[in-house]
Amino acid sequence: MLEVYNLVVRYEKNRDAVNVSEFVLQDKEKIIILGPNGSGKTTLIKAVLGLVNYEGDIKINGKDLRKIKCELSVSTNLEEVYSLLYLDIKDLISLYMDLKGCDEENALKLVRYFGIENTLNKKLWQLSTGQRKLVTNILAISSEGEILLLDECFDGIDPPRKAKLANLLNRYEHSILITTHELGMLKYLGQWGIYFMFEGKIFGKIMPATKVLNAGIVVGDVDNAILKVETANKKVSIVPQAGKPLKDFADLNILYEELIMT
Amino acid sequence: MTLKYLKLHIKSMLSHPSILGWGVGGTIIWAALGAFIFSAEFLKTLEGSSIGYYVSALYYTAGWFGCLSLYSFSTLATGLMFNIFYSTASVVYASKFTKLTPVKYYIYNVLSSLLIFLVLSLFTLASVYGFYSYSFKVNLYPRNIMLILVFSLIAGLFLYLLSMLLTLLPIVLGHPKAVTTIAYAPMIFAMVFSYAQLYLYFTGIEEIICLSPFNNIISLLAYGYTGMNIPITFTSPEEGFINIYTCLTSLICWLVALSVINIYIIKKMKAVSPYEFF
Repeated sequence: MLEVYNLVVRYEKNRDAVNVSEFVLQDKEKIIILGPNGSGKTTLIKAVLGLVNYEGDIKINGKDLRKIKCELSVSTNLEEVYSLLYLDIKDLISLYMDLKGCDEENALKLVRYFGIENTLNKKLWQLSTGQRKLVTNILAISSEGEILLLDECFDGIDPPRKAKLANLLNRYEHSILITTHELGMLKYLGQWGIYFMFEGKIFGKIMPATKVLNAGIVVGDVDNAILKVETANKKVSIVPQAGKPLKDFADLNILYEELIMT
Repeated sequence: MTLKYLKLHIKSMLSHPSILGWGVGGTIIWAALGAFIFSAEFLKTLEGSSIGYYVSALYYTAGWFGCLSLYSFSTLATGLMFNIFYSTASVVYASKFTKLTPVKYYIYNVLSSLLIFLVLSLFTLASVYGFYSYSFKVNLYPRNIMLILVFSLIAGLFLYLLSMLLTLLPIVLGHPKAVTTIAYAPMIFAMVFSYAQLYLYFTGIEEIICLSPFNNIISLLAYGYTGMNIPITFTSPEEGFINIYTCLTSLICWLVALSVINIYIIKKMKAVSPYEFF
């Protein structure tokens, strides 16, 4: 279980990159955090991994993150955590599976599943954006962590492989937290819970995700809203069968620009 | 378990282009310069030398061997540290969420690096022996290869730990931009102190040679090469000799101090994005 209380991350004085009063990821729960670019999604994951300075409390399986050592239950696809040594992908898989105490054959099976065997003899920086994302997703998923933290895991990946990845994540038996701005992926992850993230703050949750697909965003405070979001610019409501349907937007960035920033 | 980390670390270093380029390529160039270009002036003074042509040539060769080893080890150590500072996030993640503890990370890195230092030392030894014997037209074979290898390990360890300290300290203190400047300090010191011991007169201030870890390394490696007392200045052996045991004791004290500080700093290490270094 992942618990976050009163979390504040700042890169600049007087500006919170993340400000979350409470967020809990239960055992075996699957959550999507939807937010536009720059909303603080990646910073939230970095904070949970101890990669940025933060105020507040983060607990993983009841243990304070600041005191955690050798906790194998957490895995991520953040690329920056996979640069321990100057290695090709095959050796990188071998190294991280060993460090996680997992069988590297699990990862190699996924390499074959996604059809990216041609990347095995290359370095991570030699791959395309989509290939890099697939490789780091594979490293995270095959670590079999109880808490899987996937940042923008669909970024740059072609549609058939996105569907394969979504299928794989639906079958994953433990907790998953995905951050994304791709609304189009919700159709594959219909039973997951959804939070929205704007300007460092989390709003939610909505359960299941299909509710969001059939809803629309309306400016202002609407009574029958399934979720109300207050940003610095505007107050908006997510309302069933009203406003401009969310499923018409492939990307949350466009929606954010059109409805909230204007 | 994490012995795989050790194996893959060695593999990654042996295939790293910058380590091979600066470590091996740079050593060959400097060895050739010392043997065929810088030796021209020294050769003119050899005929009138009070200690004889062979011993003078041997001291000159041993001095260059010590300096070249210091240079190649410092470039290798600097290269290794650049690898570390590009991977701070990985180290923080690995120490929290994998089996790799900070102490294991430190020990495995040091062990695998020492093996590479050993390989580089043998390579430097072969280059120096070949080039200088050819240049001086005498067989200037190293007297005690085992002692050279032991001193090479100590020297490599010192430079590795020093580079680690100079790389990690600015990160821990919150000034990562300083790393790109400070990380080159071991290479610069190696060049300055090498030149000083090869060509400058230290008579009266021998303490500098005895306490400077860079000169300790040069003197110890030269001692292994010649098997004789080491002069304060290699090109002027008649000026006096260094106490080799003082050099060894001084270097070991430096090693102990650096080890303690580094383990403390690794535990305090923060993740830094590579963009923050520029």
